[in-house]
Amino acid sequence: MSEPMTLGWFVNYMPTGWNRPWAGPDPRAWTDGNFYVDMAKALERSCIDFIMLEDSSVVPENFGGDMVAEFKATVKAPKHDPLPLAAAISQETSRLGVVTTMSTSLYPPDRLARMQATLDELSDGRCGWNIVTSFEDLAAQNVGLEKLWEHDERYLRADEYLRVVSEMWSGSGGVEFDGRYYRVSGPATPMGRQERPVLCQAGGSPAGMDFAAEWADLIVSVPVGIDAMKKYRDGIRERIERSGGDPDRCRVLYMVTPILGETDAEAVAKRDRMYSPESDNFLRRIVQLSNISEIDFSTYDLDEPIPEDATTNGAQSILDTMKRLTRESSLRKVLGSTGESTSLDLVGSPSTVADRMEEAMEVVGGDGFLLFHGGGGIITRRYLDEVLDGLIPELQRRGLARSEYADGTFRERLDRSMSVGR
Amino acid sequence: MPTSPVVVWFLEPGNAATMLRTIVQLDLAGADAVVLPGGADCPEALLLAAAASRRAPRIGVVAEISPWSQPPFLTARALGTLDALTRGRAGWFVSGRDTGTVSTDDSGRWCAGTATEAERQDALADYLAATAALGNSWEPDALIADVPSGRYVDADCVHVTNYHGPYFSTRGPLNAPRPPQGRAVRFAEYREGTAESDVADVLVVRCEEDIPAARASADCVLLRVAGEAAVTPPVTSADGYAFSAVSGRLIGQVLHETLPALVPAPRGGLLRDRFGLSASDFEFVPYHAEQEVSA
Repeated sequence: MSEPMTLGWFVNYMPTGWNRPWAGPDPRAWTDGNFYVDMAKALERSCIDFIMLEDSSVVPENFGGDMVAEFKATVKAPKHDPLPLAAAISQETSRLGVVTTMSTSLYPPDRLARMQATLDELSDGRCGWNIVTSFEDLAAQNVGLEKLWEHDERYLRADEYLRVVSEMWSGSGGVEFDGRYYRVSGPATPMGRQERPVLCQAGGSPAGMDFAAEWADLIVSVPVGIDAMKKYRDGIRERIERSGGDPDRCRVLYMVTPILGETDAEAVAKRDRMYSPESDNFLRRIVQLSNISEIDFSTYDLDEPIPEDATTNGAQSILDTMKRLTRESSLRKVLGSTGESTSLDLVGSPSTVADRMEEAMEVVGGDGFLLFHGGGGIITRRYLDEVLDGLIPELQRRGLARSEYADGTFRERLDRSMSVGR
Repeated sequence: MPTSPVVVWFLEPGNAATMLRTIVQLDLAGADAVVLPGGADCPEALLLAAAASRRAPRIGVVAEISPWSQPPFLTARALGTLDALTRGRAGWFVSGRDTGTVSTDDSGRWCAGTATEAERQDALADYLAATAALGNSWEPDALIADVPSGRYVDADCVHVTNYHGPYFSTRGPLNAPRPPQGRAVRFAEYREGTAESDVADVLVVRCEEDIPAARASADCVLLRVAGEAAVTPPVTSADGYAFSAVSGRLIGQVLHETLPALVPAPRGGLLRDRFGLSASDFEFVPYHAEQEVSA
């Protein structure tokens, strides 16, 4: 392998594991951010390329029509604002990329441009922006909108949004933007160290992939299995080539949740405990599915197939899929034994998991992985240690993960055209 | 009220490195709080405050966030997080001054852009009411982390806000729990009859004569001392001083000569306590399910 993988860690500013072993002494301590600042320092010691802070701004009421289930599962809430946390992390690290999630549907473009320019200055050129468009009407209502624009229109708007903020970052003096959706006039907020933040995006749909191919430096995705991973990456590269760009300027990272043990058997046993219908895993999964689809699955018998004549105002495709999957089974059986969305099942000792990652990268062609162990209520210091002291050194020994940071800003480090001599 | 005068410092705009360095020095000198300006000529105040809190472990950090820059929900959430990150040292400097930026979209939401001063005052009052309503969406003891019942949050302690004002609407609740102070301490420049003066916990006056009027609306009143005058602050009936327009060689003089004489021992703990503010002003306001706010 000619260059080490790009590795990031996706994390939510949410409760850490609180109702499981190794929860730590204080289940409310996450609020002061110290856990996540410590985590960022640990990632930097391990030469992980970046930390990506997730964001959403709602307490979902999809499952059961109220907040009760969400506050048990803590899939999305409670959550603090990731931006001040990113500013704190910028002061306690010096090499780690710091990516923040901000929604084009919620933040005014001039505000976003200014926040990112400040993060660039505070981090001395290490900021990135994970571009999301939000999908919950509740989020829209929090900021005075009735509902969000439909999916493809959100991407059209996002495209114009990117043009506004690009002008604000590159301009000196004043910006006058008068577009179809946005109108901004005022002083520019030029970026100091990077020409613009490293742009990250997770486009799964055709409109999303087009957008990602147009703008993103890093694409984060969860196609499941090596074939789907390769197909997704090829699809992105083809889109970039079609529009005359260099496909190597963009990296596709796959989201994974490694489950590690001292032996493969121990890791498998751990996985089976974590993802069993008898544990709280089932509640998490079904609340998560309700949130994504905006279907209230609490209205169905969880131990029976979903009735063939069931209808929904939410995501019809997800309801149809669940009808098919539960036909001879039940929601509990189907969802209870599945884990976090992961491109590869990475369960085993560090060397077994490293084998699988190496093999996947060879077939797929690169570029790296996005580690994830969440959303809320899951991550512990113990898990961090397992990955950072177990798996990462194994990847480093094989030359798959970097053992030292290259020089330059976050953007420069990702830029392959500048990597001569590395 | 605190026994020695309260010291607040209005930081001059600069680059992040310079501003952070001054904040660290102020922290060491025992200043109670620093106000970070919201203008376009320096780093964004909320982020700078969060960054500074990691380097300056004691000083209060007061961020100017313009109500015209983003919806009330985002401001209420950001300030709540700043308070959590700083363990109760967060403040909000409220000012409806012109930001120099006009930003609108096609959603039809109100924009300060071409509004008259009177309309802006109404809108500012509405914005403050919206953030206050959101701040009360979480009761203080909502995080129960009860392992036997599997409940992390008591859902009965979190309330949908449904704020519908003449300018701003927000459904709520916030997705973040109530922070250590309940809410960030609100600071404002005193101007008679303005929305920000009406709701501020701490008001800054320009002259001694304004102190009685300012005291009628805020628990804590500070006298502004600017430039050369900051080196020897006058005797005052105010609760302390707001140092402003101190730059260049004056910074060192005020830091090393003026402040040590004013501040016998640095104060710690919640920011609101250092200003002698009544805890009851920060308490949860009981929620009424039918309450629909409108002006």
